[in-house]
Amino acid sequence: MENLHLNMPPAFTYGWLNLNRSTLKGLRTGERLTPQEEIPGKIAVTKAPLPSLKSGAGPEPEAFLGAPLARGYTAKKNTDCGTLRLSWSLGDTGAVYDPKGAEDNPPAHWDAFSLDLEAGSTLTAVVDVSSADGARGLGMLLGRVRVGENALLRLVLIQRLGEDYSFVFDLGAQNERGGRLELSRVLLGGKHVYDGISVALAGDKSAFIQDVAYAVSGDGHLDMNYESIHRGKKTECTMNASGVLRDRAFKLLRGTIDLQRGCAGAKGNELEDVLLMDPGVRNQSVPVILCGDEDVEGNHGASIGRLDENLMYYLASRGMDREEIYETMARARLEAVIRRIPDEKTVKLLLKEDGE
Amino acid sequence: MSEEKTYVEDIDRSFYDFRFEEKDVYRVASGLTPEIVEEISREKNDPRWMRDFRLKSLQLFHETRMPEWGPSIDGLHMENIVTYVRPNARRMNTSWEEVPEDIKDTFERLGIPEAERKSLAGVGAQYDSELVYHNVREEVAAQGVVYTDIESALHGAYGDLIRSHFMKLVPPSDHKFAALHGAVWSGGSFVYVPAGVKVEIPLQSYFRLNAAGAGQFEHTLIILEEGAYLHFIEGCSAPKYNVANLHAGCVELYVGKNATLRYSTIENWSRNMYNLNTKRAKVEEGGKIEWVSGSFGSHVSYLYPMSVLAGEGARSEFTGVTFAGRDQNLDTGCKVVHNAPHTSSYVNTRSISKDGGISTFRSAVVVNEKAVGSKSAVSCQSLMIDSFSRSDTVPAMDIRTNEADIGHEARIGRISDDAVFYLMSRGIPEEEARALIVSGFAENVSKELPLEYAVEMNNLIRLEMKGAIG
Repeated sequence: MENLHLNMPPAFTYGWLNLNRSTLKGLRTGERLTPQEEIPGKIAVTKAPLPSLKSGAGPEPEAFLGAPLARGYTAKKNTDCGTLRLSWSLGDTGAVYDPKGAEDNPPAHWDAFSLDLEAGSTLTAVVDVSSADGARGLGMLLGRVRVGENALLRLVLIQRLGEDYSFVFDLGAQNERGGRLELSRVLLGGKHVYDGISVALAGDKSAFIQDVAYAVSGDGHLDMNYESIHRGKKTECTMNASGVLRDRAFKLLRGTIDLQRGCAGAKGNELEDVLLMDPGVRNQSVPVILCGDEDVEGNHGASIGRLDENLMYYLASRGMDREEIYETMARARLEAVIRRIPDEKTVKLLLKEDGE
Repeated sequence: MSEEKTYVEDIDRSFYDFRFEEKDVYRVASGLTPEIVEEISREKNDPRWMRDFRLKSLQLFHETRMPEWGPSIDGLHMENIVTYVRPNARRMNTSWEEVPEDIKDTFERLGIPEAERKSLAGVGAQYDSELVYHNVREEVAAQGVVYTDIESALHGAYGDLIRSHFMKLVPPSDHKFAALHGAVWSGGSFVYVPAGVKVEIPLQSYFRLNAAGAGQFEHTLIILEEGAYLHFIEGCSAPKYNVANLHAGCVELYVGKNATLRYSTIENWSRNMYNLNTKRAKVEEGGKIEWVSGSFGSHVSYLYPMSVLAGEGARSEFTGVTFAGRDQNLDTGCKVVHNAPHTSSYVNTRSISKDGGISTFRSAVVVNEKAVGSKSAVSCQSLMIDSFSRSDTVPAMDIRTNEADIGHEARIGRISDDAVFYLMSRGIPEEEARALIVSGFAENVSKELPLEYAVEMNNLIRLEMKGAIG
């Protein structure tokens, strides 16, 4: 049984807030999972060590899994490769993960993948993780991504978990000159969910666009660490997160824009919007901007809490009761992100799940 | 054709950087041992409870780990710090004439007696480890306002009041340097404002550390009863030495029901100073704390005034500016804990980094379950003057009720070339144009200060910006 420390942000805050790292206790490795694959013909498939990239959850999950080989998918140079689909369906493992490290904690079933986009290539990749109805357990998925020179990756990451399934997702990415990563992330359900994404904008004029939507309810616990590391000149990032917390849900978002020395002309923008639905929820946010260069811009904005009173008044005057207004607005937040996903099949799937 | 910028000159600090031969009559050995703490306690003629408190705090200091999140304080070696230095003066004087000539000259140069005559209701002046001067205007004292050194108050009629408040807001277990303060504190002020009394003109304490390699650990305790008003100003400076000095003061503010306290600080310690200060206010129902903070000096700062909004409708405002230059790592900000319904907090800060300086804005807003209907807005803006410097913002929010409205915005950027060009096209030289823009950037603080202090702050900015193009 091992303990894992993960989701450590690049800069720490006060110790008494307990936000500087998260710890998973009582872990043991389980079986390697196999995804359902839809692989376009222009994608080459390999099995190779995970590329050495800084990741959002940090180095411990990879070390815990013994530096595994990854399922590798390569988009060939100057090729429009269409859509790659990878779906993991998680079954019941007989126990619910206990963060205090119970002896009968379930084993962590896991997998690892890598995406390599060669120069000038384009790919849409849909990564979908879901659990079976009523399933209990713990899963872990590692991903590493290289976006080559002037390549474009539209990465759609979907998580649909039942209330007894816990999960760790750890992504590390690097963009070369002119490379662009457009990432859509939808997080629905789960017991204890740890989501780490770190993107290094290494090449000049590379870009990272992140659009995250989440809904946490019951006793759900969502713990996120997102980083955009700017090394290249004139790099740009936009990191948006929009979410809804209900019942006794807990959510922690650490978001860092790291504008490193030498990234002249870089711009970073981060926006967070959290709707708190019930008295028992708890929201923690740590939006960090680190700046080591003069010729840059970094902006962050956050809005956390209830619906605007003027909006409430307006909708109430149209005959909607309070509960109805909150339900409508919560759904609208998620759908706004879902509808921007650049894959029609995924949009339909998620809108169906969201009750449309 | 303009020359490419190659360096940024450092500030001329000679105004603050004068010193006199040390004529202290008494100092303890350097380092931190139970024997030294007991020696300080004997020297201060502590009551028994205070002596025990000091020793317990020392134990906590040794047991508590260093923080893992702030600037490095590896250059601070407690074994080299002298924790108590008594200057060559009577413990406390109420007339400047009784203050020894060199110490009086120090405060004359800093403009304290003149400010007292012109614009203050009372002044306290600390030199190294002791208050050497304290005075309050008769008409203010006649209202029942108490403004004295804390040791006198401890032994006098307010002894029980002090015992029931001393390090209750900032317990020694709070962090390592709160524990250090509890062990070796010396000097500082006690202010008591009775219910309904409004002190119309400010009181000021000024702290001067003259001795090389010494620490200053003054304790400020202010109690405002219901409906009272006070503006308290704190200033501090020291000459520069090539050994580390340490400031680990503690400020505890009790703001009663519907009372308002404004606490203004212009901190200008020398650049060998480790400024590890702790400030905290507890605000009761309908009360308000207003922090105004200008941080210009010290080598390393950890400074985050904290407001605990304990009563319904309590409010907190924090307005701050931090200016970090060469050899400076200034980690500043604030903390707010909302513990009662309908409380509100407003934070507005500016940071400026130049010449390799590092400024970090660090904050925490905690809204607890009981604080329904509370609001908080945090705005922090940072300006980078060159590419050798750093500016970071590390805010944190912990919201435990859905009945709250929390807003946060942060922005980091550079001086706008367009704004400089506009001013230059109006005949203003580039250096002056940049200084003007930076002064405007810091106006959120200067406009909250009394005129004399706003002028001093703007002069500091002008000095800091001198040579900012080259």
